[in-house]
Amino acid sequence: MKGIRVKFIGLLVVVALSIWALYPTYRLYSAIPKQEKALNERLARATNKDDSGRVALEIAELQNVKASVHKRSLNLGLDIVGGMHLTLEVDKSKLSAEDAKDAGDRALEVIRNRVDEFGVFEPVIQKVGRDRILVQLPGVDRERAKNLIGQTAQLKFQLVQEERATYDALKVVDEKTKAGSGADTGKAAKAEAAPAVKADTSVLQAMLDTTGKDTGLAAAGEIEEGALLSYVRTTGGDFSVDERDYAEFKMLLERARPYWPEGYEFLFGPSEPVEGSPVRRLYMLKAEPEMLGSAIKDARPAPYQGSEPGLSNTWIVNLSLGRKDAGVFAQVTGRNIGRRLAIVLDNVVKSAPVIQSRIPDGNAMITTNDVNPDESRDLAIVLRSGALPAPVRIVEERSVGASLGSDSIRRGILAAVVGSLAVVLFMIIYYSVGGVLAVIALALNIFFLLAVLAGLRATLTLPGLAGIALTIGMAVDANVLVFERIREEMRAGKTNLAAVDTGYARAFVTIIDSNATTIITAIALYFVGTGAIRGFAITLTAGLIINVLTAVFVTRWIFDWWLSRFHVNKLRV
Amino acid sequence: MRLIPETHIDFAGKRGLFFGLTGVLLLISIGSLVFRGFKYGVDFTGGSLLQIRFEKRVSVEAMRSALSAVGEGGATIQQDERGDFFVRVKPKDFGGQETFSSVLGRQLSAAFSDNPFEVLREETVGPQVSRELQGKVLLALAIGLIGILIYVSFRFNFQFGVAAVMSLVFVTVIELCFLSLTGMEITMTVIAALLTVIGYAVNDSIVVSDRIREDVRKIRKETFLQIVNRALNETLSRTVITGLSVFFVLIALLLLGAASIRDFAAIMLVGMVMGTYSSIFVVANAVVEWEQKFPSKRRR
Repeated sequence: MKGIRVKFIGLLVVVALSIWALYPTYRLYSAIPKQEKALNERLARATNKDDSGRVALEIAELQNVKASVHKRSLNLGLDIVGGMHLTLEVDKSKLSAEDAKDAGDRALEVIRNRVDEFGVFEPVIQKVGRDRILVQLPGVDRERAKNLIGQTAQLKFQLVQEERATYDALKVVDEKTKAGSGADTGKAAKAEAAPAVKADTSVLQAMLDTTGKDTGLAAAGEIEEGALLSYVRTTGGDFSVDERDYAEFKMLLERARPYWPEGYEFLFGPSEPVEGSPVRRLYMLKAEPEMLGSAIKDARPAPYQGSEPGLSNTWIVNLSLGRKDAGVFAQVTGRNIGRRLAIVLDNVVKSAPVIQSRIPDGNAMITTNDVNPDESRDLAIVLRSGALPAPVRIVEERSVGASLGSDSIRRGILAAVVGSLAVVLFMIIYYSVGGVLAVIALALNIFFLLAVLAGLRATLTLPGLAGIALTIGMAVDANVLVFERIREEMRAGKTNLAAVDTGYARAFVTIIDSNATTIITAIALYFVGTGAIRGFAITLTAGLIINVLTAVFVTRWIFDWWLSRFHVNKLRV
Repeated sequence: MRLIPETHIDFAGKRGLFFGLTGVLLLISIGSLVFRGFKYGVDFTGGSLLQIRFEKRVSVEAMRSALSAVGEGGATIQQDERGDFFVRVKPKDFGGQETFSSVLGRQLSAAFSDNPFEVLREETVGPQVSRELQGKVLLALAIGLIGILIYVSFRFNFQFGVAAVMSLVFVTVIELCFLSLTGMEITMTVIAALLTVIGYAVNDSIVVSDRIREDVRKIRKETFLQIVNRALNETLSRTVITGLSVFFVLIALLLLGAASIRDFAAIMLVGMVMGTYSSIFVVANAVVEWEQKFPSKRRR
């Protein structure tokens, strides 16, 4: 009897430990959301500044508590609550051996800074293998986050060539391309090219005459179908290409790269709406940058306050350069007054303002076409946290929208509850007292398993839930094995106590063997599997070990206690 | 309460019949695998899968033309009963920071400007990662099977080990046939379901093997065939009760769960039935057959 008391005290201690391990999880998913809601309601009702300030302080405090509780609780995977899972690979192909060595670590650092500044609750940013980075962000605007994380953020300042030079260069490219491709068809092609050359001055003149009004160059006629110039029109004094034609034009232009004027390159601006249809500006830039933006001291978003009508109501990013760069910048701007200086980020021309005067203090401005501050805010973050040492590529992405996640949780919980109730009813009807014990064992099993997972700081994903489902099945089976065995022994005429004794002893061997083989597969999975499969392996292994303990020992103790305490005539199992 | 009375079914004596049935099932499966093949999900082929929900229903043709506009006219488009689209494309570099979802997202916003949409799910797997995943899954399966073979050979004997692995291979082949026939895609979730099925199948064959081992030690008078029959009949009640319990849960998941859980439950259901079948008709009978052909001198 005394032995049993010790066992039950031991069990109570384990239960207490489990409650302690699961308490933060309970707070995170039940108590804290309620408090959050209450505080937000108070914030909405607050009538004066003092009130709202106080509530805001309380909210901030609650967020701190939430973060600390989060670290100690069982978390739900992104495949359940929704969010973004990215694996990035650092492209080291263009780096020197020296630079490549720690490129992964530097990239990790930069990405961590960006995500921290972006402000995501409990992000996961880890290095996986040598040059892969895992980023997990719960519930964010995915396109925005991807853009923020993936930008190399290589900033350059390059001088812009004027329209006439660009036009001439494009014309030459067209001619050379035609000559190149026409080489095999012979002289006919060259002869055809002649009229286009003749017409060019008038076309350019027509274009320049209609300043302010956008014209397609092709509309002025005389330009051949398929030539680069046939795609080009003008937008606010710059050449531009329709978004529709952008991919095709870019491909043609790239193909003609050998014919580009020496020392210059063609780059595009971002997509911008002009009279409802999006276009991209085309710039010819001096390939050699005037300076690199490696030493940006600060970058802040701000509303545009200049006088250009197209930019009113838009947002900009103010850059301040470090002291050394500010000196270079002053020189560059002083030398090129009246010309345009393009600010190029990752090979996209962000803006190309005219240099009005020498800029001595190292302040520059990047304009955006956005009336929403998000883009300029993100751009400022990216510029502040510096450039990635090399471009990164997304090699894997798994994202689940929050609505899909909550939908599948709701239906999953309903299905699990109904299924479990069916099993509970079936076990109690079929095995009566034994069934009740089996249900207790099952409940303890799930409870301990969740506590262990919380203790391991595990994340519960869908494959993890599959592991729990398998555990529950194995737990039911263990109890069935025991009870069937006890029934057999009783049919063979044994007493209650003897039947229970032999039943457990015999079933124990089977339960150990069946659980052990399943654990072997789980361990194999853990060592070779990927993230998702590992979750399955961990929950399964922990669940099965707990299963052996609850199904074989705990129910046995209860049986022993019950049989010794009460006078049981016929054991109903 | 008792569902299964004491039975004396001659499972082992009729093993010829069940070998035949097993053979036919395997032939059908392999035929289906050869002629229909599988559909692999993006986990294993690489590429992107987007699940997109529009506020108002959009026709497949309209979706197709939006995809053609971004140069993905060859995409696989499926639409479920709610109107959600499942769009799959092959791996492709869209240049710079662009991804399939950003490119398609812009196109959809432009083409359906009065009909907002939401990308419910996006899975993009690069070609290299998908190759790694394939390798890892196969390696995991191989190591798991070898581990079981070693453990069972050690705890029982080599015959039982081989029989257990045969049973797992059988269940896996039948499952693959099920996937092939239903056209379900092989994704990581499906692999998790297959692993769960293998876990149950191993459990079933161990329970049967354990009883055979125990009876062989206990009962000296009967032939091996009689002992196997006795063991199968003794464990039949457990087999049915456990099977029913798991069945209840799976039916609940199948009827009430979300789409991904339904697939999972369907695979489990097939696997559970086949695992139970193979523990009785493959494992036990293979051991009997082996014992008849090559009688062991002394049983453990």
